[in-house]
Amino acid sequence: MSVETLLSVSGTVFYIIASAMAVLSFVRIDSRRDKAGLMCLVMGSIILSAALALRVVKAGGVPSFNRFDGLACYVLGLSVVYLLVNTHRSTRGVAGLLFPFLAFILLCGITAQGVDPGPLPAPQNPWLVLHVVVGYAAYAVFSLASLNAAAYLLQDYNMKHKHFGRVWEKLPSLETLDHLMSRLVGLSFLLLTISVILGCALIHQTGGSDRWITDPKVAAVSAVWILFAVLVHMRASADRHGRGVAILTVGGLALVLFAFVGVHFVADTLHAFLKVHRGVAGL
Amino acid sequence: MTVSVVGISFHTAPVELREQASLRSAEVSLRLQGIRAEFPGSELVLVSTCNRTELYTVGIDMAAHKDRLISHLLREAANPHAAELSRHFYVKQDLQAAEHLFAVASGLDAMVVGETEILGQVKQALVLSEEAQTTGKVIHTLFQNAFKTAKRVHTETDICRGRVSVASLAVELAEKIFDNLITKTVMIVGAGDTAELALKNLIDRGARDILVLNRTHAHGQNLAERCGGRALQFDLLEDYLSKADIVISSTSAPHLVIRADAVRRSIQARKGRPILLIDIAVPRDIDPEAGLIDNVYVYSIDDLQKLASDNLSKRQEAVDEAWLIVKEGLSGVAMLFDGGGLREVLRKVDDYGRRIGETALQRTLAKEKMADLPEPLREEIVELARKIVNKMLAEPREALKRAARNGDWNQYAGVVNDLFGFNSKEQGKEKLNIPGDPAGGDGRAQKEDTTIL
Repeated sequence: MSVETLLSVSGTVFYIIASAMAVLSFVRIDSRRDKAGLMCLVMGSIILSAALALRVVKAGGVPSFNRFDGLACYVLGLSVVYLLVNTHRSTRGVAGLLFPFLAFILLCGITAQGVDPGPLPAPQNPWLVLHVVVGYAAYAVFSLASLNAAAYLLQDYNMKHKHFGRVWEKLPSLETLDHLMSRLVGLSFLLLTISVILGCALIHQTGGSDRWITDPKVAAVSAVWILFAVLVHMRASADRHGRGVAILTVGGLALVLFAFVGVHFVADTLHAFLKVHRGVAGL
Repeated sequence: MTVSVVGISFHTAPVELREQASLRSAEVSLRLQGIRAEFPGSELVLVSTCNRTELYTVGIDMAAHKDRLISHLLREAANPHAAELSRHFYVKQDLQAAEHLFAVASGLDAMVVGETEILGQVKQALVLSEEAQTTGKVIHTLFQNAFKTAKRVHTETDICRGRVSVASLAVELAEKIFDNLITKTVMIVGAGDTAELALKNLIDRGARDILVLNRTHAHGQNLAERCGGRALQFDLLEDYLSKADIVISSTSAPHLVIRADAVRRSIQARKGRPILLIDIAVPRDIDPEAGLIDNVYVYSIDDLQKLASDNLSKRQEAVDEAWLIVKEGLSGVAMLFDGGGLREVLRKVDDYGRRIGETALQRTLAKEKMADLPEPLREEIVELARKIVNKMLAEPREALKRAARNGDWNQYAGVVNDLFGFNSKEQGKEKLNIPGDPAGGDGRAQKEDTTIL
């Protein structure tokens, strides 16, 4: 087993421990356990970063991602955004939904990729790397918005049905969750727009081709971009709030995950230039 | 040092008696200084709240001076009845006194278990006593440990989670819907007492924009003036409903006052922003159908009472856990007490062992056949005796330290005192009782001033 694989597995284990602690905090509130869970998430993030950094060093630049790398980048992005949000506003109750989601994604990555990370392909064009990284960041930020929306719906259910249990107690206020959703959706729209512009510039740089217009991945990402735009409009222009917007934001996660990973399973895409070894990743 | 508490609380006296001993902050310093003048060198902290008045002392013999202290605590008007009132005062000493302080600070002894305000009041009492210069090292250590333990109890258990009064639950519900209450508009429909109390709680948490609607406009104006809000004509209710984030209704109307249709229209105008409707009227003022509308949260008096009862149950469940933390906290102050303190008991155990060794050695070395024993051999025997005593006492010493750490101190201290007969010896003025010693077997062996070991 290579060092990167060992690090990847260790990082995943930390994420699993963090998610167990976050779920337990819904059973019994304990601020020390919350802190321990958060520390596990930080440790897992550091270890995963080390694993990815090691691959970059070995390849002499940013290599194209295998499936685990892609998902690990997505998980790291989500973790970093969550930690940043959490320093600004306490949303620890959301951890009970987020951490298990992250652990599940990493386990999927490990299962799909196996323990061998495979050969290291040649380093990528820096603009391509930026295009991919910004796109991942957009997905990660929107995913956090979706999980906040899921927390909103859960809290809404508790409030409506008078379930004043630990989950109700642990989750932040509806307004906090609504506000975070709004901010995160706005940020993800901005990031995805930048990534799309970079993608267009890359097509232009490589001579351009009509084939990109009909690429399934491009179509899926376009749908995601339209969804983000609709959500931003609902927030910024129409000033809509509450349950309806939360349902749409949760539904949006399915579209994002399809555009991110799912499309590679159902159609051939020109983005398969990122396909390596046994896995695929990329926008 | 003897630590004691003498006090009166809701456990022992009704309010009409408690108020005789209740003191304002300004009076506390004067009382403390008065007591200090009578008992120089003592350390004092006086805690006076609506539910209790308690004087914590260090260095005062409570058995001898209880009545004097009670008389200091009572208002002058009550002093002629001091004897009668003193029946309602309790006295606790040493570990029991410390345990009481820890329980009070943690909210375990509160009228509503888990109440947190008392911790602030006890802290304030210490500050007042420090200003009056009646504190000292022992009482300061005791109170700091009590604060540390109370903090642990509050953070590590569910003892103070959730509010338990109907009026304060409006805040709890509002805080689960809104980020903060500063920018929120609160509408009060009707001017009932509970609604007013709920409003006060919301104002305490930052609510500033208050609308009051009452059928009798003058009553509404009266309440609006008291809480710094605006009084509106009652028939403007529907017009203003969309502007209100929190509505508390408590009219005595026999019919619905806020209908579901009106709520639906207001939520459309609010573009999905949530609205909290609290109905504390019986019969109900708010159409229960309104609760089915998205982003509308309706709570009746029964819902609030259920939440209060759930919160109280959660607190009760945490009581045992909280007591364990108090016991752990007590181990940190066990060494402060006379007779029961770790350091004191360890010293007694050491003295006991040393005396047994010394007496036995003296008796042995005084024998005629030992007279010619060379000095090095004599020293060897003394050293051997010392080692045997130390070895025998090592494990009991460790067990005592463990007991203090684990909060079992009371039980162990009692057992040790009984096993080694420390209590009877103190009563018998340090008479030494060496088991199996023919000379001292009757417990009358003389205490000799020797330093062999």
